[in-house]
Amino acid sequence: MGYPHKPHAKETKVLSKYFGDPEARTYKGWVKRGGYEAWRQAQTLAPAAITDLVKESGLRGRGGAGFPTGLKWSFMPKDKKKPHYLCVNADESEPGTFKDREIMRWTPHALLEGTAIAMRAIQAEVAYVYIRGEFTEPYAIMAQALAEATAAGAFGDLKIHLHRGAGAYICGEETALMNSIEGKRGNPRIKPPFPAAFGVFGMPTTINNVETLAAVPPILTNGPAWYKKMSLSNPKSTGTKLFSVCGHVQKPGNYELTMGFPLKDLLFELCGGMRPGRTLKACIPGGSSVPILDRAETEACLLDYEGAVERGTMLGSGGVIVFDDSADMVYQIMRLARFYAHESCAQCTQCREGTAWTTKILERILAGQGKATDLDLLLDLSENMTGKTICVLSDSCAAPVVSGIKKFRGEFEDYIAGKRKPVLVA
Amino acid sequence: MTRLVINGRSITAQPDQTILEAARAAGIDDIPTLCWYPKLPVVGNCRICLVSVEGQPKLLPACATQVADGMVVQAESHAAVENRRGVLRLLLERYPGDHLINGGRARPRNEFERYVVRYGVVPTPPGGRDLPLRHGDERPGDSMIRHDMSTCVLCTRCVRACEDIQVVGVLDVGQRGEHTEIIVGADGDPDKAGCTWCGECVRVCPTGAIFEVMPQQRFAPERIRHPDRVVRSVCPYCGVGCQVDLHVADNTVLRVTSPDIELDTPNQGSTCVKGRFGYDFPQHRDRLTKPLIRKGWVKEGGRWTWRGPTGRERRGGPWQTIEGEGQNAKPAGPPRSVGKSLRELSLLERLDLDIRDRGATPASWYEPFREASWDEALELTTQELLRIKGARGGDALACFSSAKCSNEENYVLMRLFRGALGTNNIDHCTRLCHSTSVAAMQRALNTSAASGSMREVEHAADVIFIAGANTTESHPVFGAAIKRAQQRGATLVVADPRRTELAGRADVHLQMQPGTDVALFTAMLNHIVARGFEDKPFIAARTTGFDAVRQSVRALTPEVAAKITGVPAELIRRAAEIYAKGPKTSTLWAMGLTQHANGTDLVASLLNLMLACGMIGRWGAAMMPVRGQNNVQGASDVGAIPFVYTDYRSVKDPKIRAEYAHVWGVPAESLSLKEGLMVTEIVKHESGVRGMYIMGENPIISDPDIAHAEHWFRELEFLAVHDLFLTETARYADVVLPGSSFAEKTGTFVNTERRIQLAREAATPPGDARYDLQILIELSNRLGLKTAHTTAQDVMREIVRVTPSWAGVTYERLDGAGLQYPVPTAAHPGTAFLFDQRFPTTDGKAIFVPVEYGPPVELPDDAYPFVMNTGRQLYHWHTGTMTRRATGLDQREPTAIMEINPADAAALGIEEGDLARVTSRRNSLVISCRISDRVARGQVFVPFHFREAAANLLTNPVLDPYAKMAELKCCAVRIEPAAVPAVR
Repeated sequence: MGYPHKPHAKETKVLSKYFGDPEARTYKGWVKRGGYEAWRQAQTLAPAAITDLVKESGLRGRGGAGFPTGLKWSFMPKDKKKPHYLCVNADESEPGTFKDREIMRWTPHALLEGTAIAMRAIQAEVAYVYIRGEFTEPYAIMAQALAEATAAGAFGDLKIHLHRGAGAYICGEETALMNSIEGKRGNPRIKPPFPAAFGVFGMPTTINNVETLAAVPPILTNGPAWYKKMSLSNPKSTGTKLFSVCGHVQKPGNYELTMGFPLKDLLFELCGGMRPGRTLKACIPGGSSVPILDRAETEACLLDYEGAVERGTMLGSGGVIVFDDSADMVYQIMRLARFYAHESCAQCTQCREGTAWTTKILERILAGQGKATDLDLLLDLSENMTGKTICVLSDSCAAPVVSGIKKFRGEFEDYIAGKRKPVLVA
Repeated sequence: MTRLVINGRSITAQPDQTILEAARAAGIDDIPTLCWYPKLPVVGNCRICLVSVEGQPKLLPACATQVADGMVVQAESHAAVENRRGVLRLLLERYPGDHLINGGRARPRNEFERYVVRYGVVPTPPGGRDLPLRHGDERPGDSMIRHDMSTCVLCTRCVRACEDIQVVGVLDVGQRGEHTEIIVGADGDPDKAGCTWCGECVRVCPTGAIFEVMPQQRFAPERIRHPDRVVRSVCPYCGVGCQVDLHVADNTVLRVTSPDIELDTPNQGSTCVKGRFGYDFPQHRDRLTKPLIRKGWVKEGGRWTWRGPTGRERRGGPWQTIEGEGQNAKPAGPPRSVGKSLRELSLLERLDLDIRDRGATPASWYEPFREASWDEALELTTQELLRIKGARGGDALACFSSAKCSNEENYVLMRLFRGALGTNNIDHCTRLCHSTSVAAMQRALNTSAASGSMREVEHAADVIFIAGANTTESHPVFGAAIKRAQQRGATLVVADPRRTELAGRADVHLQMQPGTDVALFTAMLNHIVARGFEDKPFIAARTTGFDAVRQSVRALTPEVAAKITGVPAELIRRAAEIYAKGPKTSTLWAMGLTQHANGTDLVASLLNLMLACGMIGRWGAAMMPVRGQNNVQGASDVGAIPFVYTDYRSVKDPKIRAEYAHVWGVPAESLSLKEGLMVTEIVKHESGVRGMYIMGENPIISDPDIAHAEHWFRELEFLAVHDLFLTETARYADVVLPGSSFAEKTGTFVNTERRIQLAREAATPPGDARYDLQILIELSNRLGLKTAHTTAQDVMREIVRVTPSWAGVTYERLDGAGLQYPVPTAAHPGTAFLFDQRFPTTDGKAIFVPVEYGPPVELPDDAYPFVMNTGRQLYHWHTGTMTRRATGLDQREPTAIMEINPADAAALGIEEGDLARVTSRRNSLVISCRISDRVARGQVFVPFHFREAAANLLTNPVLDPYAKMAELKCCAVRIEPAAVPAVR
């Protein structure tokens, strides 16, 4: 396998252009590659002008929700009365997603530059880069890059702090992340108020994903029109996106694609298809929190925000998890549920008890002790867990369960009916 | 106003209200809530209050969604109700709810179970549960609060109550996912986490997962849930005057809860540890249930005659004096078993030994007495009081009234001594409390009470300046309000020689040497004047005499003061600027200022600072002497002080005298025009007092020089003590009259913010003990002052006739939050703050009184190198008569301790818990040491609650010239390690 893999002709290298090039990690090396040019330009522009450029480019949040970035920035108070903050969400913990990690590993200055530009756009003087605690190497590289850039005076009066997480998935949720920065338990907050009004330390705050911010400098240097043009399907999804492919493919890894690229081509051309003798069974295209696609849906899916929704799932973070015909879908879904049960912040009743109960039932089924009523109970629980909680963690747990039962019901029933050998011990 | 529709009903709401608030305000009460609680931050995590809102794809939390114009809410939509069932079902899967299996016939035990029954949710049958019961920290061995976390529904009300109401932060949510639990500190030990046992968590818990231990030990659960009655009363401890609900079963208070938070009581639903857990002393086995007469009194030929020993033996007994009693400590309570699960404890430990059985009154103390009938006891008392009056005149008699008793009782006792015995020798513990404040406030403002309210300090003050008040321990509910004010953004400046909790939290802590407050406040004023920060319009319009003060502060620059006080000049300047800039600064002080031989000057210098900055007479700029006892304000208001009748009307004025004589039905001449003696003057040989009546006070522990006091009391011709227990003072009595506790009486009390509140009788006095008022009325009649009253309400009707500022008070009007006087008419709503227009002086202006700094009377020297400070602890009250007989409280602090700085302790070779001998120029005692950096180097702190190490043996009895206050806060002592006695 090896990483970075050799670029594929069908990739569009913008963010990943310098992946694998250690010199790009240094301040000098980055400047030599045209880095910090966008930041220089941004400093000549009014904050609103930067926001307008980003709006025009059609850039949407790459963390999962796909919210238009320029619009988000424009929510910040224009008439600044309190300190403004920028939070950079580098707490990449979504199972199957590993794109932000590579950006921080190879092109830390792209992120820092994007951060500085965003800070100017939203009039923030302080930014917190909240880096997942397990990311030791990316953190070290980011720290080195920040030190070099700061030493070179790249950011003037702007203060960028790196903040390390302590191993909670939920801290990637924007308001939980803010609580965590404040030193509190990482519980998501009720919205409204939204971060633009009441964010970190109660001050107006914008929070952006690593990949989103890393995409900002090229937009400034090449112009929004250039970015907007990169769209293969729906004009509402523009630019390039990193897709982290994992699972049963020959060549897993990060692939940077223009929005609207067919999922089938990604799996069978860029990733080399299934292992010999295996066929595609299912795919989760947007990180573990989105509904599962079966084979037909996968092959018909286009990789942009609208294309995914058309197939009944979501583009999410772009973490593509692939299953071939050897996969035990009940087991896979139990693993996902167990993950969410472990990571629930436990605020909301439905999530705390629902994720644990769902896991318990799935474990029971896998242990050959499932009851006939269990599938109904699971669907009932999932119904209870969808759309009722403060954040979407419990929805995320319910999504694969509901779509899994819908699409692979036979596998569940086989375990319950004792037609399949139990794989877990009760 | 916002218009919206809820359940088809059109209602209006404030734009900032939530759907839940709007619904409840409109009487739509059926939106269920678990995590929501009045005044707690909204977290919206239980998700049971979700409602349907037209046009919204998802259900919305009613508790966290603001109303909007035109909103159409369906609280009982199918989706909403299904969600509620779902939530309850999920919670019930981990809840021991087997008793709820039978659905409609189930008897719900708590808030949560009521919802379960209401929504018809049926728990999984026993044995079929998919999820295990929850667990969490259990506080095993805790004498007051325990947890049974299997019934916890993780609503986190307790966590928020601890963090946001009490601002303590002991409880938290630990772990995550299904392992989530409520934790106590980091390791389950409430002690280490800083718990104050306020019980706020008990109050807010919707399932009883956090519960009080004591009721469970004494009553069946069914009895606790369904008491005979619940009676509103007033907490018997500090001057905050918390209203409490007494739950009564079998004529016993079984538990105390606080009234709903929505009611406008001073405590707004909170209590402190004393209020919630210190209620069981009235049932202590030491409680007197029959009058006692000293053996030796015999009735011969219709008269009582003393036939016992004379001289020193006259009032002797098998006991030692307080001085000699040094190490007769009570045995320690059972050890707490921190870190073990409740289930691991042996049964004995689980139940806790009832430590009330630790003999607070030694058996030998009863020996010199015999039980008597009421007729005998009152007859003897009447005979002796009248005999002494006849032989030596009324001024040979004196009484200590009680700040623990109601206004009505104090009034009747005052009336009895003035009307029947013709003396003004009536005083109570205000003398050792805020008498210097009253003296200073009388001079400057002609007032005797706080100008403002506690809630303006909490909600409106920008700066809170606290001088010599350890509010979080002595007035914990108010202390929490101050902490909340600081969280709201108020700046906190604390002047205190000790680093108390508030000092530790303060924005500026002025840690001065004890007794140097005048220098500190004067230097602050010096800086304010030098910078021109004083409130010139206020000074010009509302005060006189500022020029003299301006002159007098000139020399005391912050630099000079820094040398005297030990506070850096820069800090003094900063504090001064914060104080002066306000814009609304509230000024609080308590015993740290007043209990000095120059207490009046100390308070006067603070008042000068306050007046110069104009920090009075506006909402948020309050002058608050924080009162100690629950009725020290009221006892003074109704005239239980030697110079005045009710409403501070002078005894020297014949016109006023005539008015009282008329109301009392006595000839005017029988009332004395001579001002009486004060507490500290009475207990002196030159006072000429030979007979005393003491109601509910214990001067042998609280007098500033108790070795002398004990000697003086032994020399009396006659001493009657009216109390609940055979106190250290009562053991020298001729007659001991068993009275009623706070729970056993109806009467009114005045708190520190002039709020008159009504306490109602919850139980009858035990045995032959009588209502205090009944005793006083009968004594009054026997002494020849006809008193037709039978109830407290009758007495109040007479009080309001002679008390103009209470004229509008009736018992009916006192229902609810009470009334803040002045209440001059029946329609007057009471007065939350005073002096917005004028001061009650003759010209309506406040008077500046120049004050010179003088050092404390006793400074440390080579022989006595430490400064000793005295005061109170969180868990005890004054001489410990009540709290040392309250199970939970006494277990928290069972023995006397002295706080000493770690550096000093190390230099002396003293370790935590070691005994040390503390010696002042007057006396010596042995006490165990608690090493704490709350005290500065060179200082020690000794609480005055403990008879076995009575702090007031050591204190300096030198008196304030104006108020006759003693120097209780500052005396020089020597400290040596003491050997541990072989047998304890």
